[in-house]
Amino acid sequence: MKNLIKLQLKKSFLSFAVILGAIFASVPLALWVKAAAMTPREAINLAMLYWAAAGIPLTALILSGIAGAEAAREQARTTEQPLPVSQYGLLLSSLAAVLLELGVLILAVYAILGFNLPLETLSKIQEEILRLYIFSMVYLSFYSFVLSYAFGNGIAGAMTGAAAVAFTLYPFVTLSVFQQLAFELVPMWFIKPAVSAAALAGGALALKLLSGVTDRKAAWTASKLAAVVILLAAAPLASFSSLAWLILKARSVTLPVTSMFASPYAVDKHLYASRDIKEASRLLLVQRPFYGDAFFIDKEGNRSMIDAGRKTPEPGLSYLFPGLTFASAESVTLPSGDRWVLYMPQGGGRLMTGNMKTGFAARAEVKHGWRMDLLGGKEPGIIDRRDDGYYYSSVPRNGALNWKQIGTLKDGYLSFLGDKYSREGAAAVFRKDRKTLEYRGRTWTIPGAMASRIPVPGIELADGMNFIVPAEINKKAVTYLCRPNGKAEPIWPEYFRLTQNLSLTPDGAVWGIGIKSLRSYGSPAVKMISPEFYILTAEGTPLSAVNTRGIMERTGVTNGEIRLLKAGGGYLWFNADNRYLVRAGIKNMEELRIWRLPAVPRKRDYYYARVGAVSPSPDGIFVAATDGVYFMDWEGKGKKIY
Amino acid sequence: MKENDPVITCKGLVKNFGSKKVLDGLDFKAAPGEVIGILGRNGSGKSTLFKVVLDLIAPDSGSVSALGLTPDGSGKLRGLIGYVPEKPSFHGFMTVEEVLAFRASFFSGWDKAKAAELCKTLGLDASAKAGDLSKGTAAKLAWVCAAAHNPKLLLLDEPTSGLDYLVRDHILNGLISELAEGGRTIIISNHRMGEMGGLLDRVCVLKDGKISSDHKADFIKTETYKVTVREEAPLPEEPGVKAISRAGSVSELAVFGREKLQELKNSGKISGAEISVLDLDSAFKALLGE
Repeated sequence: MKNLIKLQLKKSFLSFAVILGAIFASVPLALWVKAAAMTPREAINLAMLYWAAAGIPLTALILSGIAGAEAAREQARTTEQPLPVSQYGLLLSSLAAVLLELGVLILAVYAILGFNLPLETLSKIQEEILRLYIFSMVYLSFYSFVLSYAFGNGIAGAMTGAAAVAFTLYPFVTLSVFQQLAFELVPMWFIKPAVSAAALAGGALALKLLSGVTDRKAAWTASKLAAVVILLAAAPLASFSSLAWLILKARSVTLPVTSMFASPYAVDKHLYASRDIKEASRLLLVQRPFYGDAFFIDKEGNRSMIDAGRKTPEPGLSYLFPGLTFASAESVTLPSGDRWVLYMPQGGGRLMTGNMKTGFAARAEVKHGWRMDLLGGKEPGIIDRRDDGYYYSSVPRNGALNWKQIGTLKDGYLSFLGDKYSREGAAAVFRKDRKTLEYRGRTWTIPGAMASRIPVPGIELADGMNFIVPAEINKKAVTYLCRPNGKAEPIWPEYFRLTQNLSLTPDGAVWGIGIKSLRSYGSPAVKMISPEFYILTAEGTPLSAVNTRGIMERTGVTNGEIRLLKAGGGYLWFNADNRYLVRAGIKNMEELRIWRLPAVPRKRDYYYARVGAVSPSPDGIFVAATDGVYFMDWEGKGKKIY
Repeated sequence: MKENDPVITCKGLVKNFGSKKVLDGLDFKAAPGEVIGILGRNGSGKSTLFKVVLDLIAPDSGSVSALGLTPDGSGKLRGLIGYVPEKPSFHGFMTVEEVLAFRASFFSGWDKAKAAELCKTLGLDASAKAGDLSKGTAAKLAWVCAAAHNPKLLLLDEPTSGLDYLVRDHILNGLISELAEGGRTIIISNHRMGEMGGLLDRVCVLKDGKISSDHKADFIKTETYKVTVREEAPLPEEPGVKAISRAGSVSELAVFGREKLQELKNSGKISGAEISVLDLDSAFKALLGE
């Protein structure tokens, strides 16, 4: 084989040498003609970019087209075939020579680039781009060779080969980009090698069959012809099938509609949430990004549409690239059960109200919903953060929004919020001594309290309205709980504040993750981050440094997120990285029950995949999964509700 | 392969090129040491038969074995066979020396000294570019390539085509004789089979995709007769009798075999005829029409 490859290299040496010379010659040429503003390196990079994008692919087509067509000629048959090697081996040697030459050309360009792609903005995926490029060139050469041999014509073969490669790479790139930018819905770890194998094995086997017919004069039969066509089409078919699979999966993806534009002072949801969250969480607002529709759904699967989505649900282009639309929304629930929804699909927004029985209707169109926040409480309203200050309007039960300025950009709107929630009995405020917290005539004195201008939101526990206040004593952080009985007791030896690093569950528990346990994040010495939870149950029992190492070990969640979903009845329920529902005993964290969750749209560090795919409610959890919506009770019994 | 096993065995070989049937159930055997001439008209399938045996072409059906191997597409068989193609072809950018060195790397039994000696004998210039070689010189180079690895089986497809008289004579009386005496099996197809006459052990006629007749060479040389008769009506052809020519009432017939001749004499059909032994060229020509 070595001698045959040498022979083939010798045969095509002249054309190869000319192209290699042209690559090297393009360096001084680029420096000579470069624009004045360009650095020499930029000029050279630009020249090499030309070679990579056009010169080398064209060279691959030319070299392989010539080699393939020549291998089919009578001259090759009479000159080389009498040698005691298989005719197929002869073809492979010719192909190998082309690939070797191409490899040298790519290496030359890469060397001139300093073995580094000048794609700084794509630094994370440079290796992937390089791999895809090399595969593309091999594939292009391979198919161009095979088809030129099949047709006995280099031009026809090269053009058909280029088309086959384009048909394969288009879905392939679409898949990669979609999964990079949106969700991982199909297993690229399998698709990439499968398409590569289909391309290489399909081409090799087709060449073998073609050699049988062209060289060995075996008769063409319908089955042989079909086999060649199928083998050559295997890679494009595999690639397009993967895209079809992705589109099919993308159609059924569901996501919760959450707020994408949370205000940096997003205090309202905390102020209001402790009273609203239980009722609010009984419904999940779900969207289907492929269709652009959105609806509320309850645990029984009853739905109420708030957005019918695209008028044309499946435009033709969606078969080539599954386009997704994402909506953002905030909602508040009134004691009557009615909801107000600030719904913001792409390109506009509207304020809607309604309930599951009567449905939802728009009350006002809002142009800049992304800068607004809904406010709950006794008087639901909406804040607009404009360029010239802050504006407020109560929600328009009858009529349009009635805006009034509540603060300048300099003053902010926190004092307005404080007044509103203090007036409604939802928050306590610090006196001027910054130690005394006051709520409806009750006071708590907290030495070292870290008082702020922001009113302290209350949380409804079993014994009434409580307040959580961080303090600093002897330069050490401590968190106090101000109970309705007037006592202020230290509950956690770390800093926690409801508007900053605490969350609420629908059953009324409050929780946060200790900063100390997260300090090691990113440290190479730490293989597994084991967050320690600080929890205040709905019954008012504080828990400190609840270690989740056991959960992480049992579930294998080492780099994801663990969130508390419910705390009560002697147990804690966790969402382990949107993959498992875990119940742990409060007294014994090793007493675990683990249930696997349906697969949710997943993309590392991607907002949608991390927030809200698993949403707790009083009776269980909603899971907005890749194939629909599920509801699972606290004993792990689940059903698909949409 | 045992010592006396046939070197080549073809059974029921069929090969079609599109709608054209080139080999049609051909059966053929060659014993060790035999020198066999394959006689056939243009397009009768001689080269196809060679290429099937060489494992260059796959038969549509039937079986082949050569030197104990069955063609399998691997090309191994070609390493054991010396082959002189009808139209030898070499890479034009190589010199004769490079061609031989290149070939040597593929044949385990390549004998460099023998190759050099053959070049000398045939007057081949080792430094000449293969692309510049005349048809005859290319044929000489093909001969060197075919013989230098000491094959046990030689397939010679029109081996003297394009060669001048002296070289042809040298090859026929020198090379082939020498090879044949070395116990090699040689299958030769040649349009001028007459010049091969002295070398052949057997002559097979390939017609309509089959071996239509198979005769010992001695039989052709000694028992093929020319019978010249004067009759108003020409004698009808029959097995063993072939018309050569007719001018007026004079007919020339080729009669194959002493027994057939005697049978014709006894029947009185050729009474008064002139009878002589047919020359080889005419005998082969008659065989083609037999």
